[in-house]
Amino acid sequence: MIATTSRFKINEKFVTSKMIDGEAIIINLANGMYYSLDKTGGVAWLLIGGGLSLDEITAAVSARFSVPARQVRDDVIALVTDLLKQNLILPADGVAATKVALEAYAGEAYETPVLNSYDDMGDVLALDPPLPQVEIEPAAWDAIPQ
Amino acid sequence: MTHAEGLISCLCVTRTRVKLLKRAVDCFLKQTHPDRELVILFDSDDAETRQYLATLSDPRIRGVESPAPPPLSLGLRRNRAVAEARGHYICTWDDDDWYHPDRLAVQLSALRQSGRPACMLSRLICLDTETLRAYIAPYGAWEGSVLVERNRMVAYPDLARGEDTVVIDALRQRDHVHLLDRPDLYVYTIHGSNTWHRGHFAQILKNSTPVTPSQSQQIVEETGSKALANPALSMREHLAPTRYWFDQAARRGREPMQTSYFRFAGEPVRMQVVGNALSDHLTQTFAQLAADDVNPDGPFALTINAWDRATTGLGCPGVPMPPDQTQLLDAGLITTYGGGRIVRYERGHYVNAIDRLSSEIFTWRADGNDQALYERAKPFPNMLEMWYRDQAVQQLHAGLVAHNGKGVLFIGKSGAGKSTCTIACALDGFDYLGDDHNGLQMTPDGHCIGHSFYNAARIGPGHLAHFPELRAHQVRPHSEYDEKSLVWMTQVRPGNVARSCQIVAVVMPRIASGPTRSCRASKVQTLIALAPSTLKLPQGGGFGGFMNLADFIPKMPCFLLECGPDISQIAPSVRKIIQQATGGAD
Repeated sequence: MIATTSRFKINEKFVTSKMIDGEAIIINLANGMYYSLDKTGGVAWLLIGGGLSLDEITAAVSARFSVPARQVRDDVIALVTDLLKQNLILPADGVAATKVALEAYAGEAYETPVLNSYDDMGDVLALDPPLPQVEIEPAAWDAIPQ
Repeated sequence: MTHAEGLISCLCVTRTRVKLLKRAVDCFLKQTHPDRELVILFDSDDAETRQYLATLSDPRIRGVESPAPPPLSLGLRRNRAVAEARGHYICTWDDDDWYHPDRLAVQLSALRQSGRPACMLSRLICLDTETLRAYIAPYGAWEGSVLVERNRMVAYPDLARGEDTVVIDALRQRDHVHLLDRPDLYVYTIHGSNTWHRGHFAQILKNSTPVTPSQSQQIVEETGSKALANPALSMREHLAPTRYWFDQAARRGREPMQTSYFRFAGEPVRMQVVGNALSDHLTQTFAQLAADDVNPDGPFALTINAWDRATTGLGCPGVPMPPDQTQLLDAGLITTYGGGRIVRYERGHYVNAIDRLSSEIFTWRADGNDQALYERAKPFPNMLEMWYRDQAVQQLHAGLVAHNGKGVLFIGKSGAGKSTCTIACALDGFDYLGDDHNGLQMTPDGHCIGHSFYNAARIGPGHLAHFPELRAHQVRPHSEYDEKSLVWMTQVRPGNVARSCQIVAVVMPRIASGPTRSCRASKVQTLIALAPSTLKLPQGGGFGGFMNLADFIPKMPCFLLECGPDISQIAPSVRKIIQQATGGAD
């Protein structure tokens, strides 16, 4: 169960995204899967990337589309669950929220956000396979002596 | 702010590459950020570097020796350089790359604004000093670009290469990194002596976006990279035997060599063909691009050399070098050499090869008079698509027509109606550019230019039923490998073919049973309709190609066109789409 105070961040190491006309296209470079989100989903994607908590996202989406917070909360939790499952976002409770501009979505109707996934370009979009994992001794992470 | 709080220590680890190091020092001296030092760590057995450092008098530059032989790993040497740093910030300053004078100032400003302790570039420019071609690298966190608060830095592991990836991963895991998209600040130089091998860079370049040849030239000059090329790695000898036998064919063939001139994506192209039948076929393939304004003395952006055995008695030799990679492709073998700069495709009865360094395509046929229609329609598609990509022209799997110079792209999977819409418009007064493969070039001033690639339209029985006037021009298949006929559009509509146009709309056709009608379409859905069929092509452009399309589609009005049974309604609907897309100016 995801706490409504949870915050997340884009899995920047493997994920790149682009907003086009308020919709999002998201690519997971690790496996070449790509995804689309319609306008409501696009708003949620921006807010998630902005480090807002689920409660804050719910409030912002509810206000932007004038729909009850309860309905939005369930939809946002379902979307976040999908995004986590696809490794597109990561939990990041320590991150600070940034302001996200949503003016471009004025007048748009609310639709339950759905993460559409596509797997027909895996060989095209997947980048270099990651380097072989290098085991690092914990001590190696110590800061350099000043 | 105290001096120490603004001081950036640039850390350069080097070994016996003074030619490269001089440029890195020069870039340091030209930085606009005032508080900086350069720590150059070199091996104690590297007399060449010691000698060079002795000539430098700037107190901000310090040489530090590392014990050798044997040299420490790159990771450990980097740690020693960090330990020598006096600044509040440290910045990687590799000896073989070029840095914009504002790099330190811009990255430091971005870091401070972000509130994070590290700043890296999400893209940079890759410059291949052998081909002198530049590319915008794909999005990522480019390790060599890191600027980080010294007390947040972690130790490099004891590795000879890949050491920086581990450190950057650690910084990113801690959410320390701000990514800055300023590729112009950093030119990553591929020069033949990098830590990584050519294959590694070939993969990066495959996923990068080439800049135009003139932009490449500008970058080469600005960064002083021409002098850094390693002449020992010239690729010219790879195709020397092929070139020799083409020359022999031109001298010994019983039919004289035919030379013709074209403009491909506006660039001058020379085609030299030995064998009359082969010459007729090849000039027909590109007849819509024939040009009488090309200077026969050159220079040429591309030279195509072709011959066949039937006329000359001469075959095509192989490449006498070990390949990088060989893959099966459509019942043939495609082989790359020299990090992808030489590519050769071979089937039983033909060979195509490209030297991307000299911009030459060689094409050989067993018999120029006995070719399947798919070979005549696209005689060397992979090589040509590669050449276009090097000119910053992205191949699209789409139909393209234009009305008064305003182009409309028809996109979608095979069977969606691309060809039907393209031909319907071409027969109704539009200019024809291509029914399935065309080029996209985005100009610096934001225009999207569509380029015609091929003259042939492939037609099936359905097209002949819809467009009976094509029957008179139909070239029927005679090979078991040909499923469709073709027509040469310069014969069907001699006055209505175009080389290039400005694309003003993207249309997704859909065969429907009702009336023909159009509506606006989602741009994301349009991108998703265009990308797979374009990028799945052998030279589709990979991730770089995807980013090209993702830059292109947002600029375009996108439409869905439901095509009803009355084909005559398609062209008027497309005219209306152009009017809508251009605000009424048809």
